[in-house]
Amino acid sequence: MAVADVRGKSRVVASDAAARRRGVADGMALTEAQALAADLRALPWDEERIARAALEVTTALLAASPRVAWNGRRTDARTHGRTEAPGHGEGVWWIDAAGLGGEAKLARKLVTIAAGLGFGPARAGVADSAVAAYAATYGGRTDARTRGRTEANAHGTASAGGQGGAGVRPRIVPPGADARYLAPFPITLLDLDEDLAETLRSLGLVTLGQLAALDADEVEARFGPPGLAAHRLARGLDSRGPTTPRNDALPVVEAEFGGPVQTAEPLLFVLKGALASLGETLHTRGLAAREITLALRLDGGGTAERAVRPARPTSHPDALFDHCRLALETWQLPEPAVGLALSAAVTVPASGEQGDLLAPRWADPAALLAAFERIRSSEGADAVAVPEARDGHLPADQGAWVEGTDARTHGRTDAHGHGAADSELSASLRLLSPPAPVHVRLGRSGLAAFRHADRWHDVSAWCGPERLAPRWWRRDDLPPAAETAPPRDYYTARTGDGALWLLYRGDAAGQWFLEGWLD
Amino acid sequence: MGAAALAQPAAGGRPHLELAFPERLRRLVPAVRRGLVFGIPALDAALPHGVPRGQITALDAPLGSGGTTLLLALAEATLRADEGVALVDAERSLAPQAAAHLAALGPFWVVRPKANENAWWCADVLLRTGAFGLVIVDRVPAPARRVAVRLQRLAHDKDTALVIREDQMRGGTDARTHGRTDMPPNYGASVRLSVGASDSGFVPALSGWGGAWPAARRLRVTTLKSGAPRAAEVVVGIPLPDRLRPHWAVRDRRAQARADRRPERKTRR
Repeated sequence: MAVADVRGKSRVVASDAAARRRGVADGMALTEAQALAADLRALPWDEERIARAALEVTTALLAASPRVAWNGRRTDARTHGRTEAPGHGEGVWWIDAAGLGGEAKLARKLVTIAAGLGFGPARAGVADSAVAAYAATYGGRTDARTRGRTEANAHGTASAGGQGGAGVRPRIVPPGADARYLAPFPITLLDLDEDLAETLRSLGLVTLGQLAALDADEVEARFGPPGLAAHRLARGLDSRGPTTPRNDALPVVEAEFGGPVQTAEPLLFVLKGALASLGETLHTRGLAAREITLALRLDGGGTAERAVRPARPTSHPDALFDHCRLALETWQLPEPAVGLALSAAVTVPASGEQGDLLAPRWADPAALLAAFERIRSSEGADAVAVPEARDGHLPADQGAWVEGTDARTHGRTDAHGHGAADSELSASLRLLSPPAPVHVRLGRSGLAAFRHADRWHDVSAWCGPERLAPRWWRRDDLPPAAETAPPRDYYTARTGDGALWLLYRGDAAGQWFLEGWLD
Repeated sequence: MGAAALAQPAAGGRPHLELAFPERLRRLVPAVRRGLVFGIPALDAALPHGVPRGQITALDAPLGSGGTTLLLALAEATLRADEGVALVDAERSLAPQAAAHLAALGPFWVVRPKANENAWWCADVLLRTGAFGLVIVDRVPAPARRVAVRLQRLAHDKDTALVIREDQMRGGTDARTHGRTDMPPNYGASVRLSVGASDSGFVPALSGWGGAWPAARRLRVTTLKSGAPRAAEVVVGIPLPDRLRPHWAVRDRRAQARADRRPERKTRR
């Protein structure tokens, strides 16, 4: 059993089935529980650890549905160790099942996911309202009428608690039958305030059906807002669960953390799962995201939004994750986040390419583009490039790096380039950008040495100068600064280690620069 | 015409079917899968099994020794074999004109990370795509052991040849060499190539004067795999522009000529 400090007294806040069989109940004082079962282990209630585990479950459940909310559990003085929410909130996730097709299949998938995380005896129920879904999850009645259910407002719950046995069949409440389904359940299902529960019991109201049969105005007049809230729940009207208005035109993924998240680590963890779900949705619809809206629900009730735009439309989760992670790193949030919503704000049809049977090495171009996108998001937009030769006099003008757009992964066998087949090897130029100023020592026979990177290089032979004016033939198009750029006197120098260096003397003051070397 | 064609009857008089595969089909059925070649006969002879796929090959080539030339030759031969090549230019110093001809041969991508140490992450991402037959990481310090192990596994999984050219000026980052500077760092490379220039690449123009004519260089490449090292000599030309005259007295007067023409041009307008 788990024990927490409530009003200065240790109380049981969670217990397993064995403890409950021996009479231990939530809210019981620790001494009382130990009197019933002295050999039970009392573990301290670790909110942080539970929150981490809950985030793990939330992220995993995103694989089944794009909208997942953890009901959470709070222990405080007011509730005497019990949950605040009127649904015994421990280990309950609200999952939007609308529009996902076969709900029995979804429920089984949820149970499988929970079991895969080590929560073994998980249960799931599906209904129009959260309270009915909760009743279907934990209730004792079996109702497996599943045929023909396509209601768009369905909610589902998956419980990862230990109250059921392995292999519990998911229960599906038929559309529009929530109130009827809830009627035989006891009022204790709602976990009402103790005073209200006692009052209702003294009036002979035992089941939800009896409460629902009362007139709403009379209930409000006699029991106030808590009574009216209970009355609404008894009639199957429940606003819990993923509550953001749906926009089926855009792929949306939502996750609620169940509590405020203050550090980036859990946020990134959920974000990764959410992006996997969003990417799958986009991929299924044949779309790629040009812009993603990353919205964080804040603890104070506000929302912080940021648009994330990958350099190219993509549905690949890893590429999208890198962009979102970079956005989060530079985002100063005024308050902790309690929920996350991702939506593909702008989408374009995904481009596809059929695999080439005859290519010895063919990979999905989308995956290759996604890899490039990851590198670009981390290393800069110009990090992935293709070399291109240009016309120019200065070495730096004779080529350029261009951003390639063709992600074909098999060769172009019809292309012809120069190289081994038609010419001898020639040394390759490497350029410093920008050229590095160097000190030069002149001797009787010209260049004697130059100092670069805190080291003197003795020159054993050199050639030059070659005077080059930067794009002198296009001066009409150049800015004034380029107009006045002086011509450069280029030298090629060989140093003692055999390396060939490219130096020039570039300005009016006679400053020397090292532009590169032949390698 | 289909891929199969009836050939002439065999010597025994019995006709047989000979498959006339198109060139690309033939490549799919290699008898022995060989490593990558440089396309340089002397060097390929010294490395009979080629640059191994699924393994790390280390290239010890000091700055200016011709290492880039060899890497680009390897990239070109790989592209001609219809396989993709990715080059991580960790130093961001490769001149685009030096590799521009490769882009026309096939999928050739150059990744230029912001910082030298990010090259390993880039190589990791590239290897995971499985789209490349050759991934080159150029001018980086020798990788840490755990990085090398991860990359080697990726290369093995994707059957990709990973070539690492170390930046020896930056040196290793840990105790792989046990403090010995004469010993190359060992991070699991299955083949190691060492490059050194055996010839100057310059011919003196005038005796007693430093000016010289550029000339071809001779590189000595030593391959070390298993057994005794093998050496190969490779000749590399110096691609100086034709207009470059290796004499101090020859000046480029074009800038001056342009300035002279300018008033005349205005008059015409």
